[in-house]
Amino acid sequence: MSNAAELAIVGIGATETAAALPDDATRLCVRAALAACEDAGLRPTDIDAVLSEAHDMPEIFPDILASLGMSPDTCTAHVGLIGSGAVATPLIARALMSAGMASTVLCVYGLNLSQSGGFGAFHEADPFKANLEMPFGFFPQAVYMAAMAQRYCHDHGVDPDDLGYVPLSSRTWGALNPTAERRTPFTIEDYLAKPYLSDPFRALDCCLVSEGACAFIVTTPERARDLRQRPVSVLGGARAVEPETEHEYFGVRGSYNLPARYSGPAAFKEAGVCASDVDVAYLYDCFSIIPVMQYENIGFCAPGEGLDAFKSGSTRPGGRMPVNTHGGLMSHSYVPGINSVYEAVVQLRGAAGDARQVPDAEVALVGAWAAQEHTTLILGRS
Amino acid sequence: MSRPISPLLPRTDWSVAQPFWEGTARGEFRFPRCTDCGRYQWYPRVLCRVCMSPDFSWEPVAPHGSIYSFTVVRRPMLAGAEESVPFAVVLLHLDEAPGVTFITNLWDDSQIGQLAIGAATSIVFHEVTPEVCMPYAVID
Repeated sequence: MSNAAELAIVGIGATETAAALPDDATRLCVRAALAACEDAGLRPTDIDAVLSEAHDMPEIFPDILASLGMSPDTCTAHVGLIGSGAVATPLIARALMSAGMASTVLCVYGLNLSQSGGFGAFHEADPFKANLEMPFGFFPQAVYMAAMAQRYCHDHGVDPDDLGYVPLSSRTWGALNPTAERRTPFTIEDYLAKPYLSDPFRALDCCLVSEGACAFIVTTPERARDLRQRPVSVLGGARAVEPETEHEYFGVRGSYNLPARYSGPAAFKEAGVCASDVDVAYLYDCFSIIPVMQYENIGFCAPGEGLDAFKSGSTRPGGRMPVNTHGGLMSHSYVPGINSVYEAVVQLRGAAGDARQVPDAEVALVGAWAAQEHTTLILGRS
Repeated sequence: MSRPISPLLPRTDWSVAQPFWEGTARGEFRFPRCTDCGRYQWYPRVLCRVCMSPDFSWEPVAPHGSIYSFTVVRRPMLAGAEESVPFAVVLLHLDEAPGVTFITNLWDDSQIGQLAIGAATSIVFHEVTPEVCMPYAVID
């Protein structure tokens, strides 16, 4: 890795988010891309590569590139799944830049689920799930992960009611963030009073469903010096994909660890930092058990201790390890993975504002998960 | 309390799992087993996950296991299941097929209070239609 190009994030952009927006995914991505260019002080024609995840974005890429007026020799590539893939784009950008194929790379992701059938549609289309799981009501994601949480709590002797501290932590941050969709704080008593959705989960254990887009631009440190914003360095990253099928992963796999146990240590090694160097962490919070498992799998604590971090207050404002300072997928928005890159950059620029700025934030970790795939990206203040 | 919990039934003519449903129609609990290394595989795969052999045969397994995990679905999230909640989903480890985790419902939701990880469980077969015989779990 010592010969690889160094990367600086020089621009970030995001649209508003909401449960439903009138703009389709193409329009949302174009708006986010233009905002990132504006933030950097660049024009779309300064971009020579455009990257995104591989699951949904390839279909709309021609429309995005056409809208931005990209030249025919623009390099495009896609990596990974929803959430995890967009966070892995800097790894591809680095490869392109090292090969001399690009110098200024736009990474973009956006979604409009109401136009693609909703969050369960992907799972419904899988014949394994349709034939062997849905007839038994093992559907959708909340049910899969409720069963994972049930087993986790049993194995580690943890009270499942304590899971509430995870959405509580997200909401505490969301309350401080003007762009968060959910801003009303709640107590653990409020959480416990809510009805169960699928034991041990309540609706508050589940993330938002949103529409919106985010984008960021990476370039060389030399080029970054001439641009508008204080650059944020990409210190390292890793993406791990376990050899599990999509349809086996959530149920019949019969275990509940995350590929973060590979991508986390690999990212630390490449970046030359360790868990105690991280000042702020972004842990994919689609369901309350998932940040807990990432916190352990990435190496912030031992197995079984992850929920303590959320219960003790250490992940909340003023705590030792702030997690999801934007409010996360649970309280900010579901523009998964990439919305954490956006927020991490804001924090490392020192631009988060008095309410939620982590003092002296120098190293940020972004963890993004999608079933058998997980990306860990480590960013640093320049 | 209704079984099945949803009008969405398995398609027994889906080639990948057809032998499973042919088995249940005869009261048998059959799973793919690698003919080279003997390991059971669920769901069916192209290659054995242990030895990469492409050769499998569907072998009967005793309809008995223990609960790996479970959840009780209390709000309907599946079209047609509105009248069925609350119902229990159980993930079972099978005594005679290590490596297989099987997903089904408790046959009788009055057993919800007995749900526990590790609980010994038997499989019963319920004829839904002449083609579709669905396995359900009864805590011993």
